[in-house]
Amino acid sequence: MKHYILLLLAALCFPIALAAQELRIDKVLDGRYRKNVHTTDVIYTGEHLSGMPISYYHSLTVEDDEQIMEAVARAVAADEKYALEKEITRVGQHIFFCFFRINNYGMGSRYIVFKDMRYASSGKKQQQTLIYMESTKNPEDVRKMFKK
Amino acid sequence: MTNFDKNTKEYWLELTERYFDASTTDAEERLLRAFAAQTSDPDFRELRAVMGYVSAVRRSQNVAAVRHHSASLSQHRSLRMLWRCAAAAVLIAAMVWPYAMRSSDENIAVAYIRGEKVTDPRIVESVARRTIDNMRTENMAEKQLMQMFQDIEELP
Repeated sequence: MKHYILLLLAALCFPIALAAQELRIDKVLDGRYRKNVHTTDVIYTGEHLSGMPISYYHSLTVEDDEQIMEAVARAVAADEKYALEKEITRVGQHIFFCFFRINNYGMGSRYIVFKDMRYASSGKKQQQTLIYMESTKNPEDVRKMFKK
Repeated sequence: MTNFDKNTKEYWLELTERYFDASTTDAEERLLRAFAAQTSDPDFRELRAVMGYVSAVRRSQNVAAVRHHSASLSQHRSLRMLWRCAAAAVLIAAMVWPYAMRSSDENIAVAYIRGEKVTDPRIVESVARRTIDNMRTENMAEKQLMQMFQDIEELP
C-alpha cells in the first residue's frame, strides 16, 4: 500500500516538476505585453498551421522599447541551458540570433527562435523577434523553416 | 495406545453406540477416532467409515478453508491490481494533463498588433508567416556577414 501511495504522490508531483522546468520565455509570452503599442504578439495553433511542421506558434516582436527588449533577451539567454540542440550567433556577450531545440517530455520538441536586430552588423534597428514553437515533426524540418 | 489396551471391546462398542446416539463428549470422540484409526476389527467398520467420512468432511472443510483463503488472497491481489491500475491511470493523467491543457488551445488565431486585438485568421497567418520569413531571410545574410567579421577579427 505504501508503494502505491508513493507512486500516486510521484504522479501528482510530475506536473509540479514539469512546472518547475518552465521556460523563462514563458514569462514574456504570458500576455503581459499584448496591450503595449511597441509589441506584436501572435498565437497561431492547430489546423491553422497545416502545411507547417509545427503544432503551436507564438511570437513576440518588440520595437523601440528597450526595457521589454532587455527582458526578452535575458529570458532567451536564460533558456539556453535547456537546449538539447542550439545554434547561436553572438555579438560580444549578446545573442544576435539563436535557434534552440528543447525537450518536450516525449511530445516532440519545443523551439525558441530569437533575433535581436540591435546587434545586426548592418541595418541595426530597435527591433527584436522571439518565436516559440512546438512540434512533433522531425527537428530538421522545423529548422528548415528558418533556412533559405 | 496403551489406554486402548486397558479397555475392552465392549467398552469401544458401547462408546461407538453412544457416538451414533450423539451422546459422547468431545474427549470421548477424540479417543474413539484414535481407536478407529488403528483397529481393523470388522465390528467397527461402520465406525471407521463414519469417522473416515467425518475426516473426509473435515478435510473438505479444510480444503474449503484453503479455498476461502485463496479467494481472499485473490481478492487482495485484485485490490492490489486495482491500486496499481489507479496509480497508473493517475500517472498517465498527470503526464498527459499539461499537454491536454495545451491541446485545448487548438485552432487559435489571435494577434495583438501594437495593442490592437486581431482575430481574423488570414491576417494572423499573414503576420506569422511574415515574422518567420523575416527571421529566415535576414538571418542568413546577417549570419554570413557576422561570420565574415568574426573571421577577420581572428586574423593575426
